[in-house]
Amino acid sequence: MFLRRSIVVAALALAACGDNTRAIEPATPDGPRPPDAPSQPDAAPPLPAGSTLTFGVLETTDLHTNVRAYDYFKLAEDKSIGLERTATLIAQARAELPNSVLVDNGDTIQGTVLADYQALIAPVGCDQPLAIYKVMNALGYDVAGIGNHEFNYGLGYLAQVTHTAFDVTGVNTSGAVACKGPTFPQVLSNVFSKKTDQPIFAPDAIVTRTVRVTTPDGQQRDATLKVGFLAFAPPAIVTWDKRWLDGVVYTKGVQETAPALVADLRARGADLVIAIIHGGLDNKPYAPELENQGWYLAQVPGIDAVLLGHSHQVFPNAASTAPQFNLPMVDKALGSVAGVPAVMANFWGQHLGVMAMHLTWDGTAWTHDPAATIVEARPIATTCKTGQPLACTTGTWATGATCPFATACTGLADKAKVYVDADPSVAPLVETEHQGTITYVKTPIGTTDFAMTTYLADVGEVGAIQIVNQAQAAYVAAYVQQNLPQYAALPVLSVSAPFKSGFQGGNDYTSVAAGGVAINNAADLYLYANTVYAVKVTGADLKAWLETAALRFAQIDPTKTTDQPLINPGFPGYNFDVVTDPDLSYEIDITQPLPPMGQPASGRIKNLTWKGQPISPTQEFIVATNNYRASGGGGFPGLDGSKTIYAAPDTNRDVLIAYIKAHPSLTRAANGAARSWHFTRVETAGNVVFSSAPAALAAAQASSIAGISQLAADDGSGKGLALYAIDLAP
Amino acid sequence: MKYAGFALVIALSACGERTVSTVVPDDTAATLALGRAALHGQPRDLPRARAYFARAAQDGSGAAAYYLGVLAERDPAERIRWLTIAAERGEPHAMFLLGNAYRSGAGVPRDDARALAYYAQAAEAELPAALQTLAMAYRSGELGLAPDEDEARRYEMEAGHALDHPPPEP
Repeated sequence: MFLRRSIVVAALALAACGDNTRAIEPATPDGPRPPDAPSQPDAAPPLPAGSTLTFGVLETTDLHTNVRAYDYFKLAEDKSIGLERTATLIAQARAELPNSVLVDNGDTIQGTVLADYQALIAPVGCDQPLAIYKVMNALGYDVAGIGNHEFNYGLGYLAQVTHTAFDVTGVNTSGAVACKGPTFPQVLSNVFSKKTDQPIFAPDAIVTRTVRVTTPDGQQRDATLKVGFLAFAPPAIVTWDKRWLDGVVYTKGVQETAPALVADLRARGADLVIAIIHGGLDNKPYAPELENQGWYLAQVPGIDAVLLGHSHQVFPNAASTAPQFNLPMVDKALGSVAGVPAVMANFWGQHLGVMAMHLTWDGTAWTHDPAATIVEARPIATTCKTGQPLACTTGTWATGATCPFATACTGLADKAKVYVDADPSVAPLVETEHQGTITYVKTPIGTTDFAMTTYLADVGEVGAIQIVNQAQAAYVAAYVQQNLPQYAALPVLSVSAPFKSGFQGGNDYTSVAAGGVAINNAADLYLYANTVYAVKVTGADLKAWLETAALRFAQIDPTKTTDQPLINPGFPGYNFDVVTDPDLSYEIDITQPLPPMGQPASGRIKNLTWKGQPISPTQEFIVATNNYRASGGGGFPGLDGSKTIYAAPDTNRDVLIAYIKAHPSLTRAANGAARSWHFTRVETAGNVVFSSAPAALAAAQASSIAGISQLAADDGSGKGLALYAIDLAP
Repeated sequence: MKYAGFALVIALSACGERTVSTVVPDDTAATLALGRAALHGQPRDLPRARAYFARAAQDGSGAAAYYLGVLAERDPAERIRWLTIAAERGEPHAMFLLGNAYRSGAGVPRDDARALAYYAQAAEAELPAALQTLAMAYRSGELGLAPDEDEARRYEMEAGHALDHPPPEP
C-alpha cells in the first residue's frame, strides 16, 4: 500500500516540477550536453551478457550559494571556492566519464549574502530560478537532495524556489508549481507533512540514461540504464528550523524509510540505487533522530553507492584522522562504508566527488563490483611541493585521467597555490544577481557621525568595539527576558575585543569612515565567523576575565627613563576583551607584574564597580560573548564551556548587522564614548610607547583620548606603523 | 526509562537552545543529565553535580570526565588528569582545553607541539573554537607555525562551516 501510494506521490511530485523540460522516465537532458540517443525500442537486439559500462557519479554538496569565486563581505575574489570552478572539474569528469550523473547533496540555497539578497532583500520572483539553480540547470544536474539549510527561509520560499507544492498546514504553496526552478528532480525521503503523512518532496526518483556500453566483442552500443535515487536530510531540521517546521512536518530516520524506497526503486526497474544523504558517518547506537546516518544508510541492503555531505570533510582521504572516517567498516583510503562506495565532497564548491563504477551486464541485470569502483574527491585548487601538485603528484587522478594541475606547479615555489580556471559560462548567468548582491553589501544600512577605528583600542578607544557590545548585549538580554526567566533579574554585560590591532602592519586595523555604514563595514567591525554565546559568571569570574585581558600590557617601571613598550607582544590584541558599558568601570594598573608562566593573571584590575558600587565576588552577571571565547578560546580562566547559558544560532556579525539596521544613526555620544576602563594614572620617568597606524594621532584628537603624542612617523618595523607615546601621568 | 526521560527533559531545558543530540536512553546519559541539571540549577548544587559526574565518568562518559576537569579549577593536576581522560574518550571540548593548557603551561609544562596536536584533534572533530584557533595561529604565525595565509583561510572557512554542525556540548 505504501509502495503504491509512494509511487503516486512520486509521480505527482515529479509532474509538479514546473518547467522541467527534461522528463524523468525516460530522461532527455536539458542544457549544453550532447543529446542522448533515443531509447531503444523493444525490437532492438538484447544486450549480450558480459557487456560492460563505466558509470560515473559526480557529487557536489554544501555549495551554500557559492556560485562565484567571491567573498561578499570582503568584496573581493576568492578563488578557493565557487561552483564556477567546480564546473570546470565537472566538464573534465564528464569528458572522462561520458556515462555519468551529476548529483547535488543539498545545503544549496542558503549561505552567502547572495542567498539573503535573493530570499530577503530583493526577493526572487516566481519568474526566475534562483541564481544557483540557474547555473545548476545550465550544468545539467541530473538530481539533487535537500539539506537542512534549504529550510532556513521557510517552507513558502522553499516551495517557490523548488517549484514544489507542499501539502502542509499554515502555508499555501499552490502557486509554487508554476514558478521557475530546477530542471532536475529534487528528492527527499524522510520529511513528511503532518497534515497528510506524505513526504513533502518526491521520496525517490529514477533517472533514465542512455549509456554507451562495450559489448564483449569490443564494439560500442547504446543501452538504457535506470538509476534510482533516495535522499535524506538530517532529522533534526524540525528543531533547527523549529519556527517554520514545528507542528508542520516531521522526520524519520534511514532505517525507517530506506528499505521500502529501495524496494520501490527496484520494482520500478532501477539498475542502480544511489543514496544521497545530507549527513556524515556516526556509529553511535542508531536512533531515528541521529544527525549523521550515513554509516547506517550504507548498510541498508540494495544500495550501490552513498553520497555524503553536511560535515565539512573530504572522503575518501587516506590520511584523515577525523573520527567519523576511522570507524569500523569505513575504508577511508578507497572510499567505502560497509563495502559500499561512498564520497563526501567538502563544501562551497571546493571539491567534486567522483565515483567511477564498473558495471557488467549478466544477461538479465547490471551487476556492480564495489571493489572495482574508484572514488575520489577532486579539489579545485591545490598547493605545490617540489614542483608537484599535492592533489595529484602523478599528474593523474585516481582513475588515471590527467588532472588539470599536472604541469601547473612546474617552476613554482613550495606552498604556491594553483587553481583550475573558472568555467567562463557561469559568471554571465548570474551577473545581475551577483552585482545586485554587491550593491546591497555596499548600500548603507546606517550612518556614523564618527570614524570607527581600532587604531587606539589598546589605549582606550571604544569606537569600533562598543557597537558590537551593544548589539550582543541587546540580543542576549532580549533572549533572556523571553526564554530564561530564572536569569531575568541579572544584569547583562557584553565583551568584545579589537580583532585587528596592527599585528600585520598599518593596514591591519578596523576602520569605518564617518558617513554611511554598509554591510561590508559591519564585516570589518565583526571579523570572525562566530555565534553569539551568553555565559553566567560571578564578580570573581568577571574580574579574572578582565585580569587576563589586561595581560595585553607589559609591566611599566615608573622609574625607568628609557622608552618602555606598552604592549606585551606575547598577548594578541584579539584577546584584549573589554567592556564598554557606562555602568561598569575599572582601572588597569600596568605597573603591576605579569604572572609567572602558567599562573593566572592578577593584581592589575582595580576599582571594579557596577553602578558605582564595588562588585562582590559572588554577584552574578550575564555576559554576551561568542562561541570561541565561551568555549575557552584564549585560555580565559573559568571560561571552558561550562558557564554557557545560551548558545545562539545567530552569528555575531548578523546580530551586529541587525542592530545597526534597527539603530541606524550611530553617534560617538551614543555608540562610541562608553569607556569602562582607564589606565591607573602614574607618573613615568620615561616614555611608554606603542605603534599604530599613521592616522592614529588624528583619531586620538577626534575621540578625546588624552595624552597621545607621536614620537616618530615610522616605527622602523617596515610595516607602515608610526611610533606613539602615551602619557599616564595623573 | 521514565526517570531517564525526565532527566533528559531537565537537561534539555537547562541547556537552553542547545539540542542534546546524543540522545542515548541509558543510565549513564541520565546520570550525566542530572549532573548538568545540578550544575546549571538556580541555585547551583556543585557537590551533587560532582557526585553525578563522578558516577557517569566511572561508567566511561567522556562528557562527565570533562565536567570533572572543569570543576577541578583549584587543583591543576586533577584538572589535567580528568581532561586527559575526557580527551582520550573523544570529548573535543576537553581536547581544546588541553591545547590551551599546554599552550600556556597551566598545570602542565608549556609545549607548543602538544598544544597544536590537541587543537588539531579537536579541529578534526569540527570544534569551531579549535578551527578558529588554528586559523589565527596560521595567520599570525603562532604556536611555532610559519604564517600561512592559505591555511589560515582554509581553517577560517572550516570554522565558519563547522558552526552549523559542531560537536554536541558535553
